Formats: sequence, C-alpha cells, structure tokens
Amino acid sequence: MSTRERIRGFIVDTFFVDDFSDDDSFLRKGLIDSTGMMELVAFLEQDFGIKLEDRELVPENLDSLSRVVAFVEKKQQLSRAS
Amino acid sequence: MVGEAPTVLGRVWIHGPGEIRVGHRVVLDGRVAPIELHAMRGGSILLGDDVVIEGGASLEALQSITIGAGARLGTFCKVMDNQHHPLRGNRHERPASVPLVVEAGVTVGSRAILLPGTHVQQGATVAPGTVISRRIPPAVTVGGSPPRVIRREVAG
Amino acid sequence: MNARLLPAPLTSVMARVQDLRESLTPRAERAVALARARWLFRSFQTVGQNVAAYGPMLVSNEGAVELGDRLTFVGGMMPSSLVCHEGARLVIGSDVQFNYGVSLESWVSVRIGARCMFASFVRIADRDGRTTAPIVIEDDVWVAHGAILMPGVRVGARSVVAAGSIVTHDVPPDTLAMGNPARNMSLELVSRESGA
Repeated sequence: MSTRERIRGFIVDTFFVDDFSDDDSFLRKGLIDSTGMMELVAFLEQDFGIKLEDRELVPENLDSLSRVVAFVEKKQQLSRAS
Repeated sequence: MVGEAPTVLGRVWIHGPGEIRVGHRVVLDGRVAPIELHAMRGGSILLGDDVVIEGGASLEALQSITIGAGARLGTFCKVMDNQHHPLRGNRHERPASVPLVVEAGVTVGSRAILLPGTHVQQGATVAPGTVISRRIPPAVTVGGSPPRVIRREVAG
Repeated sequence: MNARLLPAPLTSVMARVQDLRESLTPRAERAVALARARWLFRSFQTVGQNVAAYGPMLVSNEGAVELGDRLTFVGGMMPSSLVCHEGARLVIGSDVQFNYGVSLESWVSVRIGARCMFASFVRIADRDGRTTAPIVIEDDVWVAHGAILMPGVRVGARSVVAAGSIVTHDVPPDTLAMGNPARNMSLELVSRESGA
C-alpha cells in the first residue's frame, strides 16, 4: 500500500470522512479538528517510524493529504540518508 | 420534562432557560459534588431512560446534548457542545456549536472531556480522563489524549 | 394567588418590581463578589481595582501575592484555591478570568500575564514532588478545562492549552498545546483567523 493510501485510509477510518480530494485543506473543509490533528501526528509517528518536531506542525506540512504525503516522504528520505 | 421514577441524590444544579428532558428511571447522584446541567437559550439536554450521572459531572448545552438510554457518565466528566472561545482572534466571540451525542449503553469514565462534535456510538467505553471531539465507533474502548482505540470488542 | 385575579394596577406594580429585581440582582451579586474578594485577599501585598470573587475560595498566603485590576473568580461546584508558600511569589496580571475549581500553588514563583483565561479544574503548581521550578504564563493565554501545567513551564503569549492536556515543556507563542504529555502545534494549523 502506498503512503498516500495508508494515510487516506487512516483519515477515512478515524474521522468518518471520505469526500475530500488530495489538495483539500483539512482546516478549511472542516475535515479534521485540533484533537484529530494530534491523532494524525501520533499515527504518522507510529506507522512511519518518523519523529515530527513541534516546529514542523504547521499548515505547510500537514494541512492537506498531498502536503502530508510529501512531508512524510521527505522525512523518510532524511532519516534514511542520515 | 421528567420521566417516571427519577432518583436524585445530593445536589443537582440546573441553570439556564434552555430545555432539559429526562427519561424514566434516571439516576443523578450528586453526592460527591453537585451535578451541573446547563442548558442555555436555544440549547437542549436530553437524558434517555436509565441514564446514570455521577457527581461533579457538568453538561453545558448551547445547542444540543443527547445522552442515550442506559449510558453512564462518571464523576467530574465535562460534556460541552461549544468551546465558548475561539482559538485565535477575539476571545469574547462565541464559536459555533456542534451537537453532541452519546448513544445508548455508553460508559464514560470519570474526568473524561467530551468536546463539541463528539459522537460516541452504541456500547462504546470512554476510559477515564480521555479527551474526545470526534465520532467513536460502536463497542470500542478509547483512552488517552489524543484518544486512541485501546480495545475492540470481538464480534460474536 | 393567581396573578390574573389581581386588579390591573397591582399586577403592573408587581411586574415593575420583578423587572427592578432582575436588573438589580447582577449588581447585588457584583457588590457581594467585590466585597468577598476584598475579604478573601486581605493578606495579599497588592490587590488591584475591581477584583471580584463570585464564590467561596481557599486562600493562603505566606509569601508575596500581587493581583492586577479587574480579575474575576467565578464560583461553581468546587472552590478555586490560591496558595502562596513562604518566600514564594504569585503575580497575576490584569483582566484575568478564572472559572471554578482552579488551583494555583506557588512554592517559588508563578507569574500570569494580562487577559489570560483559566477554565474550570485547571491546576498550576511549581512543585510536583520531584522538581521545583518557576512557571511563567504570558499575556492572552487560554488554558482550557482540566489542563495541568507542570513546574518550569513557560507558556507563550496568545497560546492555547487544550482541555485535559498536561504541559511538561515550554509552549511557544501562538501555539496550541494538546495531549498527555502536551505537544505544540501552530495555531494556524487548526484555526482560521476569525474563529475556531
């Protein structure tokens, strides 16, 4: 399963929303609230074995499915490189 | 409106001009600390049959809080359908309410916090101290902050 | 007696008395709250103008407590408590609001900025049995229901501590701290400028 499918699967299962496209803003479409965002962060850390720093929890990294996927892939590359 | 054979122990505070409906055989046990039922203008609190609420629990409705039949709310849990203050900007504006539903047979542990948008489905268990603001599927146990499913009931 | 049976002038008088009572009740409560605050906080070194306590509180001061202007302590099912131990400092800025059941305890130093809001059952203590370190809360912070702030924590201006969180590390300004232990995320990630 691709990273995109795993993350989308988690969002659909956890927040009971599936009517969203890859570029929809979670915040503006009201898909995920603040508690949900914490759950998403915990899921990313556990499932992808990456560590998110507090300063990385910003809209540029996490506010849509495509941003999350790009961010996770970048983090995985960085951890592999080091 | 109150159904048949309610039991009230200790103190129960009822505030606000909103609507409060109580089903049959409801138990409100305010001996540890007062129970607070706060229905503001236009808000409603509906307690189903056989609901048990323990002391110190606080329910605040600006729009709608529904507690299903046979559900139990533990001591000092907080149930609110409005955050009361926005996260950013003018803190004195009031954000929109989101209806809150606790379905039949749910157990909510003490000190749990149910925020706007919570929908705990039938037979689920909320561990003590959990903070929730989303839909929780039926018959699971959730705990922690942020909440995680810590047990799933095996079917059959 | 049924109000309809009364002659018209008397019912109108009663209605006016009722109106008057309703308009006076908040003012009477306010007067009582101001007087209660003056009595409760009599041992404090500084107390600002218009400090009101709308319910009973547990107050103990063996150190130095400074309260700003226009503070509000709301009453409720549990009394709030303010405790300042010997040699400690507790400083609260102006226009801060406290809901019921808030517990503030200072063994060395707790400082709270202006216009902060503390929801019910918030606990703030600068000693937890292992460590003792001062706590600083900057201006315009909102600490939501049931949150706990651990010793040595600094919460930045305009930040929000979410309900039920346990804050063990510093929170930068304009941040939402949430969870147990709390993690910090940008408020921009979870809130539009206008509201929640």
